[in-house]
Amino acid sequence: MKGRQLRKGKKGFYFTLDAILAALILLSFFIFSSSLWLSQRTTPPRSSLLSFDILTSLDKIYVSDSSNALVQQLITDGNITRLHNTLLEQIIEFWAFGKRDLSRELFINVTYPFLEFDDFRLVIGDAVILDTIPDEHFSITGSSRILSGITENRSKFGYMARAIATKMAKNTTKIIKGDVIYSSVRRPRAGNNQNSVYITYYFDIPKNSTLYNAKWFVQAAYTDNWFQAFVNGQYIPGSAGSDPSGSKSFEGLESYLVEGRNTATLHFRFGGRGALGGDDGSSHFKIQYYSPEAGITSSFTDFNFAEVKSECPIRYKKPVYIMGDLNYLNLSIYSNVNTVSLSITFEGQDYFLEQKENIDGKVTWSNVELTSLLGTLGLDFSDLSNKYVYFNIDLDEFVEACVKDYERVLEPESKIYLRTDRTSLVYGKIDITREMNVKSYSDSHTGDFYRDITWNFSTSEATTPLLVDCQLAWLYFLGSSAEQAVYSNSDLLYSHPPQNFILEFARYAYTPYETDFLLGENIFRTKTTGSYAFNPFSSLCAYTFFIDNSVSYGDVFQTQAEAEEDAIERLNEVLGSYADALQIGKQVIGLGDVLSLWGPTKIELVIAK
Amino acid sequence: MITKKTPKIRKRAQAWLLDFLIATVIASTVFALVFLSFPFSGEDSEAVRLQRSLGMLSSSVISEGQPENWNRNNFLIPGILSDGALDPSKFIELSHLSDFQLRESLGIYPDVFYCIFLKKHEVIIIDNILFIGSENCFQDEMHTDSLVETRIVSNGTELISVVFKVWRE
Repeated sequence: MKGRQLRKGKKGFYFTLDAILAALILLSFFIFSSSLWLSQRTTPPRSSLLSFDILTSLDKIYVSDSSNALVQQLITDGNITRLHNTLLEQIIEFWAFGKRDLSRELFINVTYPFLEFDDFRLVIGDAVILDTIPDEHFSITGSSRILSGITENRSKFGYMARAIATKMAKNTTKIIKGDVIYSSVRRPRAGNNQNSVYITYYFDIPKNSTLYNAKWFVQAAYTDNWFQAFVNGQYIPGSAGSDPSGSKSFEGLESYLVEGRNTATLHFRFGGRGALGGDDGSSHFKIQYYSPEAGITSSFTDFNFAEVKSECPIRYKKPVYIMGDLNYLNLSIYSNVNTVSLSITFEGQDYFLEQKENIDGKVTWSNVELTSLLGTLGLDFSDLSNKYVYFNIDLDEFVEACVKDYERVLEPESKIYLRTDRTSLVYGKIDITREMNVKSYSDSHTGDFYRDITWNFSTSEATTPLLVDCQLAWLYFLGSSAEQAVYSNSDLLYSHPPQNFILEFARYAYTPYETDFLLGENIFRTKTTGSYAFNPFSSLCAYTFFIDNSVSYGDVFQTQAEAEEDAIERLNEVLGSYADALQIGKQVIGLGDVLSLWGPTKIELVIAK
Repeated sequence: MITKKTPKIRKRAQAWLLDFLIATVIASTVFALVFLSFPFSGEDSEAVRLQRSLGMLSSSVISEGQPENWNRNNFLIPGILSDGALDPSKFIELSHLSDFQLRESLGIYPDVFYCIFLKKHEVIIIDNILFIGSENCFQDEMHTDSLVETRIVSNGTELISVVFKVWRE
């Protein structure tokens, strides 16, 4: 009896247990299914999406494309060198290369203002880079990504190399352009006043240069001027006397030139009728050379005057191409004259600025003075930017016919100094200048003067265009009407009308900032009508561009020697015919132990809920 | 004998009845809860409808869309990203879709108002598009209830916000 009662009691227990187990199973199913559904239909917490979005988005922006001011600054400073890094890769790279502060600063800067009101933690590898989450805060969520400084699909074992030309030689052309300089050589009534006008241009040739060719084209201010030419004080045979065109060309002048400082002097005297002796501004000395000094050839900030000597007042018009937005300008004139007058001319308009007394052999116009003087004329620096501006100096009251008195000297230390937003960009690059070819000329005016002329030059992916600069030999019959147009490829850069008529259209220059340069052939064209024309054979157009002096890491090779050979080969391809690498610095990375590149590394962004 | 047996039968019947009742209550509770939590089963609360509309809207738009190179004539899902970054042309294309097309493709309830706009410090206007969606996007005083979700995307040069807003009037 007792055993049967116990079995019946156990049966009830089993029933109850069975019911509880069934209930638990059903309840578990309910909780599981409901939580599964709820997780599907509700939005993930903001902090989770935020960390995911930020890491994902930072890995979608290349530093070269970033509009962030700090990123641009870091590129300019040279702190960021791998422009194909994404922002996220750059943050890790800074950390990997020990620049922890830059890593932090960059992350904060590029994520502003999206994390401004959040507590977050940034972890790279095992290192906590940033942490603003309070210790007592337990509810956090985050996202992570794994990145590597080694490009995808590249072998992780082997060697790769980059090369930098630490010493180079370049094939380039130096062009010394004549300015418009003249002084009286005629007496007030008529005849020779016995004055001599000496103009000396100073220029430098780098040491150990090999000169290929040196030519000098001289165009006198008046066609009947009598003149002589000297290089470094040596008389150029055949230069004496006058020519019906007022111009002469001298070739094969290499032997007259020396390394370092050189001079090219012109001595003008009265011819037959012309009142003024001097340079008309289209003269040019052209030197082709191979130089082991690969620094910048032309200055875009300092524009020195030529040395001028005359016993009559001197008029000097110096054309200066102001490349970029002008933000600083001053002028210093060293001379023994009594007064110096300053005016400027651009786009065919003259603006008189000021006349100053010469007290101690030096007359200057400071940046503040010039800004003020321009302001009184309703002008500012923006009016002078990105164009040729003539700085016109009169040394003593200028007259076309004079009785010579004392020798006036304009010292070659006299100069214009300017700065623009682009002048600093040219330093640290290798500039190459090439004379442009005359491609065609038509619509003849008189003699060698034509109304429709095109010059051409070529660009390539390995070069960076800087400037097209033309010195134009012009002809115009005063009083007649004429149209003037200048084109870069199909872009119209200047047109009269509606723009001003330019009487002395002796210069024109432009950069890729004003017009698009095409890959391959590019055209510069002058198109005039009426009595205005240019001489393509006496004009000189030059194209200046930059080339790189380094190549980055290339493919992965089995041996270090192969990687180096590849880097040198790629460097020589970049330098092309423009330059030679005389000394090459190489850096080789063994990918087996990842000496310099980083990764794979985990970056994690955790945000407090 | 009879009087002694009757209590035993009653007790056994009570145990079975209790077991049945417990099982029924548990099963009913489970079924009721599962039924109530099942989507689109009966009338959802207003908050749920707003939340669902917002979730569908943001998750669809922050994608490349379907097909990836969709346009107003062939789209299934109108996402605004390409290669993980904002594609302005897709954003412009999105603005050309009708309210009906947007609601149908993005799963927005008919009684829910919605809008999408880009922002950094200020609202970013692309091709004269201030926002996409219902009127009164910025008239918060007209919204009786609203939810906002902000997603961060790259526009190729910087991070920007894509703001999704749903509300009732």
